[in-house]
Amino acid sequence: MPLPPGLTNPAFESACEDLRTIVGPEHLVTGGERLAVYADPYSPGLAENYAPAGAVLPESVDEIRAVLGVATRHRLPLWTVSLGRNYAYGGAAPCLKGSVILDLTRMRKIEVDRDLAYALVEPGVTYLDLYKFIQEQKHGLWIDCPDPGWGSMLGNTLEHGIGHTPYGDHAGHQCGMEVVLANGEVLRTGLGAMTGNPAWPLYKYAFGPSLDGLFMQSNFGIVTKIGVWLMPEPEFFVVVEMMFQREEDIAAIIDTLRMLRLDGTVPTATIANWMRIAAGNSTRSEWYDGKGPMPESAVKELMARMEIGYWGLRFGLYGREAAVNEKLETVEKAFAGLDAEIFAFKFARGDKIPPEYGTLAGIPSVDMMPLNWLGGAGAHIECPLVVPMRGAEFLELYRRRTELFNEEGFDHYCGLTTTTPRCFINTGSIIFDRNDEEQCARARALGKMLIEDAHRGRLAGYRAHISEMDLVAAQFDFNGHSAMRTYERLKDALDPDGVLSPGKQGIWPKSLRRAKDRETP
Amino acid sequence: MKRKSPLQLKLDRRELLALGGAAAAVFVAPVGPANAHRAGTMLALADLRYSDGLLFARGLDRLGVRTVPVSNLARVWLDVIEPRLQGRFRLAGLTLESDLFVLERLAGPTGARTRFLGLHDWRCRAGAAHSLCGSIGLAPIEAALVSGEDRWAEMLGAALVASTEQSEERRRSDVLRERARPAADSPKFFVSWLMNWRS
Repeated sequence: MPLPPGLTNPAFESACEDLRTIVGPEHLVTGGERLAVYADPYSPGLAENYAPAGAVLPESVDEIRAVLGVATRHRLPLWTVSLGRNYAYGGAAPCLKGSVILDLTRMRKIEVDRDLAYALVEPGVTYLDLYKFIQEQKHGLWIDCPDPGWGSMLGNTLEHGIGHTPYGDHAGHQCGMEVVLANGEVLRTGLGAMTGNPAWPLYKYAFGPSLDGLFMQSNFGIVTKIGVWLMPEPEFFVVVEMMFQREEDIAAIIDTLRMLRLDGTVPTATIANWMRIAAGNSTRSEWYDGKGPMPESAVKELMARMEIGYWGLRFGLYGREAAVNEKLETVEKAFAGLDAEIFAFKFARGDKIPPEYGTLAGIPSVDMMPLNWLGGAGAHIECPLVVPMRGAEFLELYRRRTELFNEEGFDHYCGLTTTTPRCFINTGSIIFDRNDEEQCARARALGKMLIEDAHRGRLAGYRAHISEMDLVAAQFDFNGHSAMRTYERLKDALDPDGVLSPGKQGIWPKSLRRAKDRETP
Repeated sequence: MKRKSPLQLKLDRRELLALGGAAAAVFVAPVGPANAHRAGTMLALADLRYSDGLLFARGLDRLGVRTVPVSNLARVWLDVIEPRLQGRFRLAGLTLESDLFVLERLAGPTGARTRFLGLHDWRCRAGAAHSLCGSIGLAPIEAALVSGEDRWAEMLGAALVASTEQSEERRRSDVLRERARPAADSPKFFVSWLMNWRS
């Protein structure tokens, strides 16, 4: 078991003793099976480099404040996780080996306001929890959940996670935040800065600067509560699915979809390539047994046998029945010239939604079928890019990324989700068998190549695996990395002892910055 | 405009297979009193999209084990497993690996431990490689895999029902079946597993 940097064994033991008195002995973990669960299960062979020294599980804001006092006194680095299910990006594992995981799983309070359609949730509340709570209370509200929906709502929102309903931009539908700063001070953002203001979870802005964004994907504080807007269950809901046969169709699909996104006809939408569709429903061995990427002939045979297109497009239309039907007609007309197969599945309020359309109706799924693509112990890492909705530009990017995937022997898994109307989040999951060293090495190499290729095209990832955070952060280079210099000034001001999540998103405390600079490419 | 997608048709076909009438005749171990008790305290999950999963489920069904399709794991967790967490029971499965990954992480915080894990691999090889690990007796499982031929899944299910915990120590065993061919619809990599809950 690693020790926190700079701490001797007795010093660490002394810090642990202090933590035990705060949370109780059963909520401090320093080894064994209980510590092993904090390792990154999807690590491409790097888990040892990111091993934590222990984990502490406070139950309340007061306990967090006390833990921070101990961490500051002992210079103990803490790595905050809500539930630690940020898989593909490191899970619960810290950037800095030997950090102690600050696990907020035990904080699980939920409050829902049915009239104003919002929830206040603590870090330990999962999408499954809130879904169940709302169903039991018959609130007539929908949540929006990512794939899979078993993680923390607060954690996913802070990481800028996305879903599939009109509320799919999770950070965009967050309102109100409670934060514990490194010095133990408790802060509420926006209108929450006024004691008892009832509009705290209703209106994002207040008097003065907006602070919420500073505590997302950052290490400036510990977020202990957020407000999340919920969607009233619509009167009518249609799932629209389209299939397109040719790779080059993507240019026209994107340009057509862009118009429908900008004029408000279509909300959040997702495009999947053949592999994403196939991997969601089958394993590669069912189609092809050879090594290396599937050849074009095998892909064509797969498409024919599965009766799928090279691209699939899926979204929901929501609202009053007449309005939804009108939108559906608009969609059909817009795509009429694209030689698309179009399918529509209509649901009235109260109808049973089949599981395959659940996430479009805010029903959490824990299906992770695509990870079985290669068999073995499936895992994935990725660095999803933010790409403008311009068809021809994306086709060029797609072909380049396909070449990179194929060069490393992988099939190209590609998804495009538009939760905002002008750009996509382009997922490109590198799926590998985590027990296969050779595949892990290729996955690491491909991950780096994709990030570097994106940067050459002046594109960036919006999330990254812990092993790639410094690489991505270094690419934000405008005016000599002025954004990072500002983050570092904020870090030094808000967390001068550098105890909060060192290295998160490439932001290191002053004491570790020089060592980090030496390693940055 | 079409009203049904090809993907949905594919799912329907598999549901039909799962729910349909007689499939292959099932040979399973006789149900003695001890096994009957064990079967009553066991719940099983199976991937009914695949014929091996169907055979696993049907074999267990004959032994009186409730078997649930794994197709919507979130609902299975909320509606079937979570309500049983107060009692003592064993959970077994023949699934794809991702389902076990999810279940171990959902069930782990409730006190569940995986007592047996079998990897059943037909990828890129002439036969089948079964890699077993667990703290239950592995010999009956090895025997089921050796004698099961193309009914290996149903024999495996019966062996899991009859299995008993031997010690905390985990044992390993590899079974190679050089001429064993996968089922026509096989994903060529399954995991079988057994979890229990200890206070």
